[in-house]
Amino acid sequence: MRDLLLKIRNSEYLSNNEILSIKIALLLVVLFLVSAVSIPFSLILTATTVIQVIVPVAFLLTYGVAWILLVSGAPRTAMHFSILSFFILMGSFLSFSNPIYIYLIVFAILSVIIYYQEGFPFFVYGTILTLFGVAYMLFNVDLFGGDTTQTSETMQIIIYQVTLLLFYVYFLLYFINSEVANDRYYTEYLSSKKLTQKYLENMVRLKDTKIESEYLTPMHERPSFQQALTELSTFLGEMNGKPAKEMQELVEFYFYLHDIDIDEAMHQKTLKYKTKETMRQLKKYLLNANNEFTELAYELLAQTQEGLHPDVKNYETALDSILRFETDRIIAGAMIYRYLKQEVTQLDKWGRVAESLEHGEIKSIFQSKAIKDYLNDRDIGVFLDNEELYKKM
Amino acid sequence: MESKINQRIGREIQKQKYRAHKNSAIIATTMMGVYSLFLMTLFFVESIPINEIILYLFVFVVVLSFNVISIINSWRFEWLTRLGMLNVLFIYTFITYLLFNQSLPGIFANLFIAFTIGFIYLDSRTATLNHVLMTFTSSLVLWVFPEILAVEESTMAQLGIINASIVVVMIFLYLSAIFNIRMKQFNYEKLAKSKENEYRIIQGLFDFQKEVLNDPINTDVFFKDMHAFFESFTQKLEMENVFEKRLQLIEDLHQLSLSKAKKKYKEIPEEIIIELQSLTLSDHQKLRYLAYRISQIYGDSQTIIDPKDAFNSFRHYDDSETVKIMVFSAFYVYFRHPDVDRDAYSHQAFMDLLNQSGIDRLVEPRILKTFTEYQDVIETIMTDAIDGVEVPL
Repeated sequence: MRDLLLKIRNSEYLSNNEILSIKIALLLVVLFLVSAVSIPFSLILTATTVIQVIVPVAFLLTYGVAWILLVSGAPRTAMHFSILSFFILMGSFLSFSNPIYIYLIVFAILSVIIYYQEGFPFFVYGTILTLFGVAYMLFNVDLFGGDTTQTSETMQIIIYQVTLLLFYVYFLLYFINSEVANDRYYTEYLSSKKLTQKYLENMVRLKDTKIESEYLTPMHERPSFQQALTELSTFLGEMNGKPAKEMQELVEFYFYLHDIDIDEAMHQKTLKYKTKETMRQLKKYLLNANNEFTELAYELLAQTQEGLHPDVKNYETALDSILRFETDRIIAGAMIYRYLKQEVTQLDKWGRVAESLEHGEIKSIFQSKAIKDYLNDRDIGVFLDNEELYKKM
Repeated sequence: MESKINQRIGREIQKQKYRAHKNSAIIATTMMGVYSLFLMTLFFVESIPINEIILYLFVFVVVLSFNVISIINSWRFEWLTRLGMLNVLFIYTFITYLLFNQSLPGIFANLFIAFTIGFIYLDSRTATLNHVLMTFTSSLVLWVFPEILAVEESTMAQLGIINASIVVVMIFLYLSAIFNIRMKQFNYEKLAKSKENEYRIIQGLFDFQKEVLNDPINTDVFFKDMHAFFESFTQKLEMENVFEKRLQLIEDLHQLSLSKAKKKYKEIPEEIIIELQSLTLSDHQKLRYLAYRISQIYGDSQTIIDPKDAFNSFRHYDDSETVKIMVFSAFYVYFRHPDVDRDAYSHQAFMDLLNQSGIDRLVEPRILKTFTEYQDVIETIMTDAIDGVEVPL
């Protein structure tokens, strides 16, 4: 319970799947409590066999499957089963409920779907439920006490229907807005991440160059590193209830992975699933590749760098947001061209950071879609119209 | 200096938040507009006196105009947040007023619409207000107008159960909204940090490349090429060389302080000199970073990073506990050793950087706690390994 509360407090550091798992667990706990009260009542109060037998059985089945899926690490499918079990539980109220409750039950189920904050399930289940709600009122006007000849009662049905429709449409808009915002965030974040990966690729290659040229020992081959990692992992493993042997074998396997082609090994049919799974988990943390470990290491090291001058106010990359005059933008464009043409920024055919770009390559960059983040059409036009002059630089 | 960098990160976070809030404000205002049309139609059909309808219409026009003006004029983020709260407060007050003063059938269901409009705002204060008001007003309806829910002969217990259900649903939805808002806030921070780190990582790359390739950028040759280029450029266009003075200023800014540059180039406004400062090839100014960034566009294979692999962590939910312990140990041991591009870090220096970078949040709290609790043992393991002493465990 303490762990769960801690996780809720630090929810922003959890992955989407972890958050979803917490949400499902919370809902299932509440469903258990609600069902413990409501199902016995529905058994006593209802006469129909459907409600007495099928509803409890179906509920227990879907509820059980939801828990099993959740525990076995399939939260997305578990979510659908939890919605389904809630739906069935609400079904147990059908026979003895007033029609207004049916209307409110539709909102309750929609609320559970909204609770998961997932656009697609809301679209699918929400559309079905809303259509059901609207149709139910349309065909059961009399149940609502309505008389089509009386304006106010007809109006009441219309208000209920419009409210349900607006509720659905508004939430649909909410999810669309949320998806658009997420997409924009991911695009921006992933483009920054992708560039960082490229810089780190160059960094890793430069490190290899230095290791080779100065006959240095790579980190993972240094005895002190190997010993420290073995001892530390064993100690921390024991402190966290993991057997020393298991930790030592894992460390050995980790070092072994530095010397093999993991992608090729993953395709070997003779390897056990568990071994492949461990390989997959460790691959992103190897020391001799540009991977998640490298990114985290340089994210940490970035704290020791000054980076941009403190007076530089933002991270804007478009020249027209940095410089107000076209004259200055032409100068900036020419300086960028000169930099790309003469300074080392690329890998050579042996994978060393050793080359600059040629005119044709720079031209292809200036004609690419990605350059729009830096230069506007006029800036690009100046380059293309005077290409021969630039080429001589 | 650090505070100015934090201000830059803060500005970027605000920019992202503002963009999201503006979108929410546009959608919520549109929703209120559509809802007001629905209400006015309802008033006409229900034959509400025309002077009352005009009054209601006037109130809505004022509220909507205020929203539109704030969106068009891009009012500050804080204003948009307050405006969101005012809108939520207004819509609940208005519906509650109708409930008590107009006998409109089924109007209580409109509370759902109010709730949806409030849900659109991605701000924790507005979310709290929305959920509190929804709980309060729906409970009010339940106790004051129990006949709406056809529980005229209701007992206190019945009403209590229904009210408790409302509270439970609201708690769930509130929890979900808060999860979502905190996740979005975290994403804004992550994006801003990622942009700052990107510049810092290039800085490290510049330093290391200079060291390994022994190939620092030659400013004199660079500007000689630039002067020659603009000479030919202006000759070709048969125009006066308007670039020369600006170029000279940029070149001078490598040696001159801002105040000296202002004295020397009195005819150029200060804000332009500051802008041109970003075009110097000095470390920590923008041009080199932009040029290097652009250089990495070349050969970009358009590979898309799967969003589920986008976030680096030492606590991936699908990694085993032993792997989590071992990989963070490897990270720690890595930094306790010197690498080809940096010195070794002490335990405290590493922990400080871990905390400063926010990476400490990406480690299982239990594992991180062991690092703090057993610092002495860990220090002994490290010292003995680095000194080459075999430690029996």
